[in-house]
Amino acid sequence: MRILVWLFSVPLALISEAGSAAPGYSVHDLNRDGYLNRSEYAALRAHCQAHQDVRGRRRCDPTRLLTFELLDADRDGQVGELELLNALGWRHRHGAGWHD
Amino acid sequence: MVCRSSVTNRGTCRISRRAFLKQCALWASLLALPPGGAPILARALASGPRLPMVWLSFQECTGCTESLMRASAPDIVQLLFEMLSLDYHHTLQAVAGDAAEVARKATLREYAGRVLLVVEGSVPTALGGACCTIAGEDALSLLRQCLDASEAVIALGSCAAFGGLPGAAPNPTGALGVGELMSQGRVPQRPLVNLPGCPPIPDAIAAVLAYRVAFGRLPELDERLRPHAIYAETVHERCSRRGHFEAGRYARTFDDEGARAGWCLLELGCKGPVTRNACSTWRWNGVGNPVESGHPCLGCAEPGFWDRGGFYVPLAKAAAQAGTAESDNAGAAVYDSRCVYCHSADAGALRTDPDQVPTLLRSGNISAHRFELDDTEMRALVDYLKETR
Repeated sequence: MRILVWLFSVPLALISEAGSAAPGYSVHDLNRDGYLNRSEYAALRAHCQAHQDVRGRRRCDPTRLLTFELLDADRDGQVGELELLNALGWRHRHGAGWHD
Repeated sequence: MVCRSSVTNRGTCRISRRAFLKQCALWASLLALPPGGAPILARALASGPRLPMVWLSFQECTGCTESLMRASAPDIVQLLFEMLSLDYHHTLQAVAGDAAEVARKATLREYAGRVLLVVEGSVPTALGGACCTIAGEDALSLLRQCLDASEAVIALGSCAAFGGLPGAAPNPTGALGVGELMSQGRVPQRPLVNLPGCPPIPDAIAAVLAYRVAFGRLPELDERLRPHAIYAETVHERCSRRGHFEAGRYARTFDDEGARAGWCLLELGCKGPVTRNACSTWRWNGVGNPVESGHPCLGCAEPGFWDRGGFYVPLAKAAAQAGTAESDNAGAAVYDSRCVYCHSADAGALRTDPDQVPTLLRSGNISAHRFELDDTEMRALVDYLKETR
């Protein structure tokens, strides 16, 4: 039972991807420094563009991703978890309008 | 010709006191002031101190300035600019080049913290701001400088308020409205009034400026930071064709009998029922509006109006199309817009049982999932995760 409780309390990102035990908050944080930098984010975008599901559709639509500039609020060239949450929270509150 | 002086008996003026009081009554009415509001407005406008104003133009067509300048009562505009000290305006200023920039900097320095800033046009944020530079400075840094010295800002027109045409998909310049930039912490926070419209109604612009001059504060705003009194109703609610709508009489094409008889334009794509603006009550220049001229409302005062389907697609059809698209892609949209930043771009790689996802997300134990999904979004996400397995 305790194990179950522990599992539920661990961030989904840490436990759910196949074989990945990514540190920090994102599996796209390839250098495991706890931030998404510009090249890591570009890789995510490219992966979205390239990856297709069984029906030949893109599984992830890159046009729905916010620009790196929108995420990087303090403009230090990397996106921390709080910056990401603020950006997504803002997008959620304000509804429509995607920026490619 | 000094309008204000006629009111204060200091000289000659084209505008009579009767016209001045009439205009004050109109503005008071537009702003939904109580009965005593018009005389208070008149007294304050006749004697109040001039307010320093800086007017910035970024990604725009100058239509908002044109709208104000082409007002049906030019003396009223003249009066307005006697209440205000318009120290910098790209279109109207007599000086150019370095002299203009020197004037702007002097105003910002001399009236630091007291400047009323008007922004026309959206602000590009992509490509290092290279898409709009003025005197060698990008729009974003200019906006920051001016906001630092401002007491309040008016985002004039749909571009400045919500991004407008430059912000339409795919938005190559990363155009954003002033409010969005403030929300993201990219510019200093200041009291903000959005006056959307393409262009805004001249009297709405003038009324808000007059209110600020007369009362020293901004009018009451709605949830989108628009003056509540001006944007309280939809174009449809007071539409001159409303009777035909109630009777079910619709024009089906632009040249049919219904169109000639002035019937409702809903079937021709009118967005009046979902657009908040005073077009039907105040009209542009008090003369008319697109609907009265036989053209459907485009919904130009609403955020993202360029991206909300075709201008001539009837609302019901557009809603049905959007509904179909949404039901197909809603789960993917939730995943792509929220989950993919931390999880695999391939939703099928998520090992968590989709049926467990709602419990996990709503457990409150996962710090990164502080945003909330409503039941519809959650169902769509679960269905999508199941589908991708």
